[in-house]
Amino acid sequence: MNIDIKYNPSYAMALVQLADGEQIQAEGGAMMSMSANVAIETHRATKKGGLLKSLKAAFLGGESFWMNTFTANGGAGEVALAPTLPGDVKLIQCAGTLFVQSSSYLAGSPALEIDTKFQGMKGFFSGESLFFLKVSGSGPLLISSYGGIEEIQVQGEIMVDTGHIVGFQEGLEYQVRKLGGWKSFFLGGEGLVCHFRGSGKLWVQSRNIPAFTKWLGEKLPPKQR
Amino acid sequence: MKYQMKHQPSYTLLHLELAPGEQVRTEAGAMVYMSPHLGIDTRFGSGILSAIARKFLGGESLFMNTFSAGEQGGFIGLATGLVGDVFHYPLKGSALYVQSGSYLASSPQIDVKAQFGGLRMFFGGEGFFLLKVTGMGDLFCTSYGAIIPIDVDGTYTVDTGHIVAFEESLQFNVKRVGGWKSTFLSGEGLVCEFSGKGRLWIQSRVPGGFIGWVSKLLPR
Repeated sequence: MNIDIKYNPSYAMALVQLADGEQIQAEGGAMMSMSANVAIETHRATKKGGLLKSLKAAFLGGESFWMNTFTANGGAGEVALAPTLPGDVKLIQCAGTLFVQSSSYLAGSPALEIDTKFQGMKGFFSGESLFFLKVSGSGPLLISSYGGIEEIQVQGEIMVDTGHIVGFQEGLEYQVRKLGGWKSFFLGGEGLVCHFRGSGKLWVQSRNIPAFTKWLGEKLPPKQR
Repeated sequence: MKYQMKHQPSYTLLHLELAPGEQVRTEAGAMVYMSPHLGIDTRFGSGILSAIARKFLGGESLFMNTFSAGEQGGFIGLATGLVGDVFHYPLKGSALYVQSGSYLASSPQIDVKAQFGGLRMFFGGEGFFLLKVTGMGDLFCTSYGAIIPIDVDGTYTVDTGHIVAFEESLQFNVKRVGGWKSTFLSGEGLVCEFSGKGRLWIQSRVPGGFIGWVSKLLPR
């Protein structure tokens, strides 16, 4: 499999070249174009664990209930994949376990196992969904963002605004907390942060959706009744 | 204060390295990531009256955050909600006028005050309110779209929605473009006519244009 990322960081897309018989699994709606000998199979988001886990992924994780697996039959083929929002796509060679912010999963090898992990109640209060998909196994993984994706090699500690987290490797411990005192929490506009400790890679996006929707909501004229 | 900009021009992320004891003041909500030992203090931006003016005239947040590095120094990443770029301006005593939505961060010695741009601003509908930024230190401004610096020598006309910032050595006058027919039908609204000698920064997109487009498409 050969994956080429084009037009990043603003309008990134992934061009996936499949050898005969090779497969790529992608989020529902991500397929932009594909060659004629590529077959599409639609299945639930989490293959293991049955219906309940898929429902959890769909409703808590914000991920599409359905995923598609593309297979090249009778020769090589290609699939072009694009996320919904303007932003970046990054290829990660997954080896082990990492956590991906649920709406940032674009595509990956079907060999990767996907599970949902509930991140605690705190995410609810901030209005920032804090659901992560647990991706484990080895193979290519494509993650997408709103904004550019910045890779940070954490050695020690770092705090990240929850709305900016795209994903992180398993070696990192984390704790969701408010930043500074209550005054900063309510008036400073920083909301909740994730305090990471340990060593591992962390991916952050340079824009966040809650900040954009808040700006848009304030500027739009009120709804007519 | 060492700075680095990444993912330019669409999704610029400003990375700042703070020396021991150094501080940076930012627009509320701009922090992306930071080293864990930075202190945070939330206050009205440049005094309560100016903060209220910034909020109601300029559409900015009432509050600003000051991040302080301890003995070991630290780092912080900053960004805004909009798609756009960041530029750095070293203030050396003279003033810079900044369009209200474009302030991102500055050294703590820098003063940010709302400046009423004249009665005509109200009719423009493009939120053209200015912040007067004075003092000594580093200033970082954001844009919607790419940032284009222009060295004005003589006169130059800019659509009010495209202005990011300009030096105080430039005089400015907000006016209609052409006659009344052009004002209403040309889609150009109000323009700002600059004169004198100095630098001007403009942005390649206007937030008001995007808002107008989206609000027409949304269900009512």
